[in-house]
Amino acid sequence: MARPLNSRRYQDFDMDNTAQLADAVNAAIAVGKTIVPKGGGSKSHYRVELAESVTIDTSNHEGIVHYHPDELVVRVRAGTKISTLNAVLAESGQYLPAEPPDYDGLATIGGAIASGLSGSGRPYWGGLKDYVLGIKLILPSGEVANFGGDVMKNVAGYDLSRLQVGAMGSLGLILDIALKILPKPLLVKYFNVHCRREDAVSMLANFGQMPGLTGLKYFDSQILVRLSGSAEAVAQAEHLLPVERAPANITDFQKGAIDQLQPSQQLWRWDGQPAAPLEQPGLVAMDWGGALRWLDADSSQLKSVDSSQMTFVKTGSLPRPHLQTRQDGVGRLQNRIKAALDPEGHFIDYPALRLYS
Amino acid sequence: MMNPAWREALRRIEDLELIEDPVRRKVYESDGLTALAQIPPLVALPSTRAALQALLQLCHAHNVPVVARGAGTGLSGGATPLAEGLLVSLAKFKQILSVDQARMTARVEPGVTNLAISEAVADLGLFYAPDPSSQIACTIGGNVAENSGGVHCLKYGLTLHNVCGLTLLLANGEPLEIGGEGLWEDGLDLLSVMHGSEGLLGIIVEVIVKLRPQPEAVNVLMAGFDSVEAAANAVSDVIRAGVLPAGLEMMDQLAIQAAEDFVAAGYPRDAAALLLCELDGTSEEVARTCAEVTSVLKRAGATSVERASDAVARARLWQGRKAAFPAVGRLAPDYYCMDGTIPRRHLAAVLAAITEKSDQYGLRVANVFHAGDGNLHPLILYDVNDRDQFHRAEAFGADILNICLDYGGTITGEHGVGLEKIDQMCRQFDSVELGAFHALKSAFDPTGLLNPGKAIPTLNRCAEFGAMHVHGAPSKFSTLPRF
Repeated sequence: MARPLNSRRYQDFDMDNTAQLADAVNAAIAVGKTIVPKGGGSKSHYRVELAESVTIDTSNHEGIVHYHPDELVVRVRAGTKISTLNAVLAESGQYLPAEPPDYDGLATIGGAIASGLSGSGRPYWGGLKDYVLGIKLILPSGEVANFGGDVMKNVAGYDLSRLQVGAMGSLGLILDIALKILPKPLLVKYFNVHCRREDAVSMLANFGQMPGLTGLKYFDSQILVRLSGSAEAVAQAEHLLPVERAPANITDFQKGAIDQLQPSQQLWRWDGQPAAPLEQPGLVAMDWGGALRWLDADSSQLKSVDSSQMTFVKTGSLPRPHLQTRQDGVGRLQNRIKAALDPEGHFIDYPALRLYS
Repeated sequence: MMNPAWREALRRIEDLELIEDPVRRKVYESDGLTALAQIPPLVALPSTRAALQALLQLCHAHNVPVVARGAGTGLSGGATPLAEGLLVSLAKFKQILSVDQARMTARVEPGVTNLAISEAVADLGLFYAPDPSSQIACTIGGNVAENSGGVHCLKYGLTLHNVCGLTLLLANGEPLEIGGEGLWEDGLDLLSVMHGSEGLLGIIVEVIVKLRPQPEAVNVLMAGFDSVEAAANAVSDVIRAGVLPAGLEMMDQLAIQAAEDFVAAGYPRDAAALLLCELDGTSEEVARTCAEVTSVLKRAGATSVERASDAVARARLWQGRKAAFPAVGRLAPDYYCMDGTIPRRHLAAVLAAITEKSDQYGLRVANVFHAGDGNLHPLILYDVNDRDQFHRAEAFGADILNICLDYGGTITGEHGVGLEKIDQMCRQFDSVELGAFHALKSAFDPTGLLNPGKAIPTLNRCAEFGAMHVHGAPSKFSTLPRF
């Protein structure tokens, strides 16, 4: 049976606004305005101002629909803050391994799902979509639908729940999400290792995929390492680290994450092979063992980089660059899916985020 | 249309073997769901991607439906041939194309068997984690199409958690590469959608799988319990202790006895339920967690706990579980394997409801259960030659799926919908949700040529079946006990 949790804590933020959100969606459909779903607003930099649009705020649709720690499943309303969800899970010694960035407490789980952002554990524990079991949403027709479920294994119907992860709100308004969660690792340790920028890629590659390694980043002339698991596994992994390692803490480890970076020009993400040479201009940080790189650069500097690896995040002092959506066969299929699921275009389109030429 | 012009053009495609002889076609009449058989009018075995592409273009031009098939081990009729359509076997695509040791991935063709991947990388100290019971025969292409599970899903995930890239051909032959190099892709996530799409969205021609380091140590604990409820509570206690076992399986008394009669695995015959718990990790870690879990199991009322620490003893304990289906198969001429998943807290209630139905239909049922993830495999015993028993078994199976739905579960955890559970789809999903599935299908395959009639029922079919699910209607809970 489920371990009883402090029930007062649940009630503090238990607000089911399904009816109001459905009314808002249907009202927008009736007047032909494009619907822009919004959570905590932490990632509003992805958006371009649209004429004739209406923003529907989900941040007051919050709370835990149900949580069964023994079953490793939680269902949470979209407007719930990631920090709140993390606190509830921590009470039972559990966590969401996908670690979506929480933007100093601003980000909601619905927004994290829509933008598909995963934390440093991505190469080791999987990404946000790997922990999604089911999603209830208001479809572009204004009707409520439930895909997936509250169980670990479920192959009934196409996976329209995981399709919402990273869909940027283009396929409907997410109401609530069932997530797989896991027991927290028994022990987590952080280390910093000094490293020159030009050596960073080869040094990250040297760590490879050693057991117990659950985070490997580069920021500000430091390799940031996270080890987690049982005491035995962490101790074994620690022995494999370079001797010049320095003990660090979680704050050190979180440096150089997407919600910490403020670009002076434009912030871009590069996704590719972890061992790819460091040829990208303006590198400020690396994550996922080198498979994810954050660049502070002007779009004109990025012409030499494969455009299919570069995604725009946000701008600093420079204007937003001219961006495009994907134009290849996969991009055309993605467009057909959007058109099939939202034939009248009631929801915003997937944003243009790349410099395809 | 499968007209002579189409057939003639098909014969001209290079690297394409056609089976026209009726005796040889009979081999392909069903998948693992043998009760549904249909000899295909024609079978095609392409041996190159170009041949498969030419075949699809030709079928598309002539409006001929195509059913793709791997090893045919599926249990829900996903690969059952059509009376008017082409059956395409991917059996000739069986190369492991490359293994990247540093990145721990392998590029494989769809006809490679699940087990062959792990065998090919064993010398590198790696393995491919999902292990459906049919792993010796089932192919990776079929695993992706069904999003196959196995006994290690709780810790290592389903097929979709262990695949990072796919190449597929759409119904019109257009090739697409999804995922692959990076860990993030621009636009909608098609990789997840392809998993479990049962051959309706595209034909998979290449798979990039993730590999994992073999654990340093693996132990298995076996515990007997004198009630199913005590065993179910023990599962919760193990999870609550913060342990994530690699596998956590339960069997009921009939399954235990059948397995013991069949392979003499050393199971406690008098136990009402048995748990198998596999723990892996470093040697010290496994030694400690084994001790922890042993005391958790004893506190939860285990009547016996046995530990297998070497490969031989471990294989013996697993053998009974892995052979459970054929073992139960010895108890009756036929058995019907169900695949519902439920929230585990309802296990005792669901098993009680199944027992009640078993009495009502006069058919015995053995239960094998992926306890860690709530996936039930009730095996209904019957004799297919007795038509009345056959119909009772079908009705009993449908009732079990409805019970799973009533307790917040799903009609299929890992075997797929195929033809078998298509009517129950009408109960799990309403017309809005089914409409969204059909919309997605139309984006991939606008003329509906890939595996038509499977996985997703038409709204007409649901209306005729008379069981369209209506959200919040009291009939949804018709099988829950009322007081």
